[in-house]
Amino acid sequence: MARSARRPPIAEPDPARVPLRVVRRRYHLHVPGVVYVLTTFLMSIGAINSQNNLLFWAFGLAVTALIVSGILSGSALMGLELSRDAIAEAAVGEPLIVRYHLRNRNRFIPAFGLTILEIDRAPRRARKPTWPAHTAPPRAFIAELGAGRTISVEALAPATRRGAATFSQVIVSTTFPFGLTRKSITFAGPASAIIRPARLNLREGLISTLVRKGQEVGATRAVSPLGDEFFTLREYRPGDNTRAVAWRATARAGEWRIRAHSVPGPRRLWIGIDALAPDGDRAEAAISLAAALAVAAHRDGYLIGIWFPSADLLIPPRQSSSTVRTILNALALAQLGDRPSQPPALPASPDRESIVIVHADDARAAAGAPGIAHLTLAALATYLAPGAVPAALPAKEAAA
Amino acid sequence: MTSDRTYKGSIIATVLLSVLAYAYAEYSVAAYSDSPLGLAGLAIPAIALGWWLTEGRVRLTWPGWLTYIAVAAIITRGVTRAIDQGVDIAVFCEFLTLILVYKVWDHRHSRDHGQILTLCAFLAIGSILTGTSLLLGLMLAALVPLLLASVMMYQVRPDDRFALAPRSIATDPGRPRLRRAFTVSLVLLWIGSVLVFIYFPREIGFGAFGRWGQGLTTGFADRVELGRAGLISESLETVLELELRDGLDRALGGEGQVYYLRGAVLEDYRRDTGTWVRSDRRDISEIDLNPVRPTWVLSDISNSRSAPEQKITQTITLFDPSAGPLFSIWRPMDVTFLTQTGRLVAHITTLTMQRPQSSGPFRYTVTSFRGNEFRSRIRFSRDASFDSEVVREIAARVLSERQIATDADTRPVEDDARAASAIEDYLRTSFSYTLDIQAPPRGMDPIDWFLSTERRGHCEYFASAMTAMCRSVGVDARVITGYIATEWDPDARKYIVRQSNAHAWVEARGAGGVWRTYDPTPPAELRRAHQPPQDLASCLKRLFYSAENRWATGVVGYDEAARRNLVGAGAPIITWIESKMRAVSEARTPRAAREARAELRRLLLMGSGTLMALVAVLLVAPRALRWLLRHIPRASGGAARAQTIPGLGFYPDLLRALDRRGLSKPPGRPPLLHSQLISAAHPALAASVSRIAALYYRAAFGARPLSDQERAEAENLVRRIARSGDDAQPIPPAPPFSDGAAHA
Repeated sequence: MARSARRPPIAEPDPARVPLRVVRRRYHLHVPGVVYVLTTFLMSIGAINSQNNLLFWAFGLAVTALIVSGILSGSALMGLELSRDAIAEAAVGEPLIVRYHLRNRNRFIPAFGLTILEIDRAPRRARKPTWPAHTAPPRAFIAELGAGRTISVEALAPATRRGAATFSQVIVSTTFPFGLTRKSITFAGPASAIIRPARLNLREGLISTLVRKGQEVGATRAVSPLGDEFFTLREYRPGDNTRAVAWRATARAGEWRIRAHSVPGPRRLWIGIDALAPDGDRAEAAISLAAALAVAAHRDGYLIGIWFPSADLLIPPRQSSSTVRTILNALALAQLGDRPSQPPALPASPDRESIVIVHADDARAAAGAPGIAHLTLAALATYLAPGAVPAALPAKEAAA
Repeated sequence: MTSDRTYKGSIIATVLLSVLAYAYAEYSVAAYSDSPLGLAGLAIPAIALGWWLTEGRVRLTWPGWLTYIAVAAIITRGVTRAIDQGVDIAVFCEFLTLILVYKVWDHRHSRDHGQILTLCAFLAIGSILTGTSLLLGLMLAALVPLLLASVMMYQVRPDDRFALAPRSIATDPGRPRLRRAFTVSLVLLWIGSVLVFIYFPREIGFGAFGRWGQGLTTGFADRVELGRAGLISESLETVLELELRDGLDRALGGEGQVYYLRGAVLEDYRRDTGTWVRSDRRDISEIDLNPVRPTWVLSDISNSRSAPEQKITQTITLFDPSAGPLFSIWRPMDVTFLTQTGRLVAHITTLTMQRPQSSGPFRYTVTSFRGNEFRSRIRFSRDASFDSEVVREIAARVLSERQIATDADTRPVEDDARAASAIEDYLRTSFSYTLDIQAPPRGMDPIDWFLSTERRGHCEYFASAMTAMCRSVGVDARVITGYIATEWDPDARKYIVRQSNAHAWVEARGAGGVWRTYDPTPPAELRRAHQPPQDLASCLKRLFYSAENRWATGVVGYDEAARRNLVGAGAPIITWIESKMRAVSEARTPRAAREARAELRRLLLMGSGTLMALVAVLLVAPRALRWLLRHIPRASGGAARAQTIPGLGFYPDLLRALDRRGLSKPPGRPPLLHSQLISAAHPALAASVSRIAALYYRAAFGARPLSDQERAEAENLVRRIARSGDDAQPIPPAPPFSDGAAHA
């Protein structure tokens, strides 16, 4: 009983933490190691040739160092377990954070100088990871890890391109204690992250200048019991406040009647993106601007719809708390086509909805349909908040 | 993680100590050629200043072009010196030191610290190749832990080229683990290095690649330049140890007894420079001494007339490993090498010997004969002369006062010894001894000046004057340089001979061509000059040199004999290799040598073949093992149990399917827990695994067999998991359109 009481409680598995399996252990003979082995060999030749006893001692020191290095580092790496948390979304120009948890199961030997690095390899029959196209290599370093201890560390890699970055293998390596050989364990386990378009800080009031006159207020929607103006009477529903009861009407009808008041309905904004694959960085800039408009419009209370013909993407305005997340993720994953934009065929009611189109090519903006706000990258600086530095935009626009 | 201050302090201490060790090694071998500590004097302040400027508050960084110029200058100097002096250890180490200074002045990344430490390690090896003194050994012994600590601290620091964010660098706080790892490593390194030092067989392959990397220490000169320092030295460094036994194997020596150890015989005097040098007679004989023929008989006088009491067996340990003279008491009969094989060069006329270079202290035995029975085989003629009126006049006056004929033609040969004794006595009593070195006036011969004007001087003047006076009256004489053994160690029962015991005396030939030893230096002054000083500093110096002797004999001079004494003959294979190598070197006939060489070649081929096979096995075996492990179905734990229970074959299939999908279940983890752990990333798959696990648990542990339907369900689920294995692409955690947005 006492024994079982001393046992540590079984940890509940963390659903966000994915344990990685060991696929390979390896000794790498790198340049310093080769130089060291050569020097040791020459030292042995020198000692034998000259019978210089101090050289024999130095040779013994060198050989022992090689053996001690192999034993210490090999046994230290033997008991390592690595797990990786689910990776949160990141935006281009911001760091992608990959959180690792490293456990040293070894009972006596601590581990030192551990480098954790995502590598561009995958197990057999699995697809190669795509992170190299989207981020710099995520890398972290653990100076010490005691025997039987667990440590967490975050690898911060700047995101460079939007899209879905997938991860597969992680290599944990060390050159401790003497830097003669590099020992590594390769762990494998899938993970993925969405890299969203670069965040742009738009100036205050930009959205209101883009919407059409008369459309600052959306359609009326009946709400009970709160609201500005009386809208209608309706039957009682469980949960209605008794202060909203229309007593006279109730008396007349012989059943409960409730006053319903009206509030303005949410305003709708369609954001169109006119960008093609050949536009390159300008297309990416246009997508970033569209994403920034979506975020700003959502903050201002608009229902947002996205229309992105060259990526076959259409997201109608919806009343949902996850709309912005959905839009940003969709823009992150959008694959641009080569086809030119079709004329607007939006399912929008011109009298109730505003439309803004972001153009990657200024020439196409000039030929845009009238009555619609057309945003161009040439005027990007005018859309941004004062002092905001646009990240991951074409040099020309960034300079502007 | 250790503090930045400790880390950087350790690095700069390592750098300074390695440079100091090398500078001292170079100084110790060049001490007698008045070489200053120039390298250390320049490099150490430069390194200290460079470190202070780059790591201190100033944080100086140099423009790129300046560093290129510095590197180019260092390389140019290295190449120039290599062309002038040839590529040797000194040139290479000077190059390393300059590069080290440059790196200290221009280190930008943490990686530069690694390069600095590597240069320090190379410089330490250079020090070993340059010198072998005790102080150097102590410096290297201190350098090892410093270097080790620096390297280990360097390894637990991130590479700053990647500019990791603070969040990306973690350390597990708590106990001083690095200190423990350092202690364990240091202990293991010491144990390993001492074991290799003790057990590594010696004498195999000595000189196989030529002679290089040896110390060059020598304090002995085979010439006397009057008016210069010459043999005068106040150094208490031990040159040799001398043990004496007579022909009856009785120990000789004691307090107050003095022995003269001859090293060089100087017969030619050059008046223009006042220099005594060796005769240019080509009377050299050479012989290789080895275990089969360890002794060389120089003069065969072991006849019935030689009483055993007259024999002196001298066992001498020379601490200087470089080639040079063998010292012995007059008159040497035979010489035996005790620790070394090699070529002995002997001058037949003067019976002086030159020894080969050795790896450490050089031990040998010389048997000398003190009697006068020996007669020279060389024809004895009295044609000695010395071209100086001053000397001739004084010598004639001395002999006349003692009623000895001054004319060699009329004087009996038996009086030659008396004449030499008279001159010796005259110099001892009429001249005073001083260590002040004064040069004679320009244009005046030093011997004339000493005899006529100065009338005081050191041993070289006395020996030169006596030799000149003897020759001027027809007595053949020569100047002998060597050491005088005066310091008796009663505990060890041997003489300690130091650098300050260097001396010059005279040998004069008497009747029958017998050479006798004379010392014209005043005996009282001589004793005082060679008496060990008793002040505290001298005692400490002697203590240090005594420790250095122990170091030289125990560590630097650790040889095959010492190894065999300590650990026995060693492995049979090593003994066998040694015997084969000896067979080659000691073969007496060409045929025997050919056969021995052929056998050695077979041995080498066999050895290298075995080594290559071993390497091949080591390379192939892990891959073969991995292949086997991958292709042979594993059956352990639950899988093994499943194979023993009928109807549970789906469980091993499930494990294989998971393995293929990259979601292997580690041994020991219950399948249900495994399904929970993978559910975050693969919810659908985890549900299937969970269901299969439940069925497996029930059948394997619940003693409730599965129905056909349940078994079919499990197999079906396993098949689905296996089929979807082709799509091993992980599912993103948040599908972008999962909330029902329209996707045109």
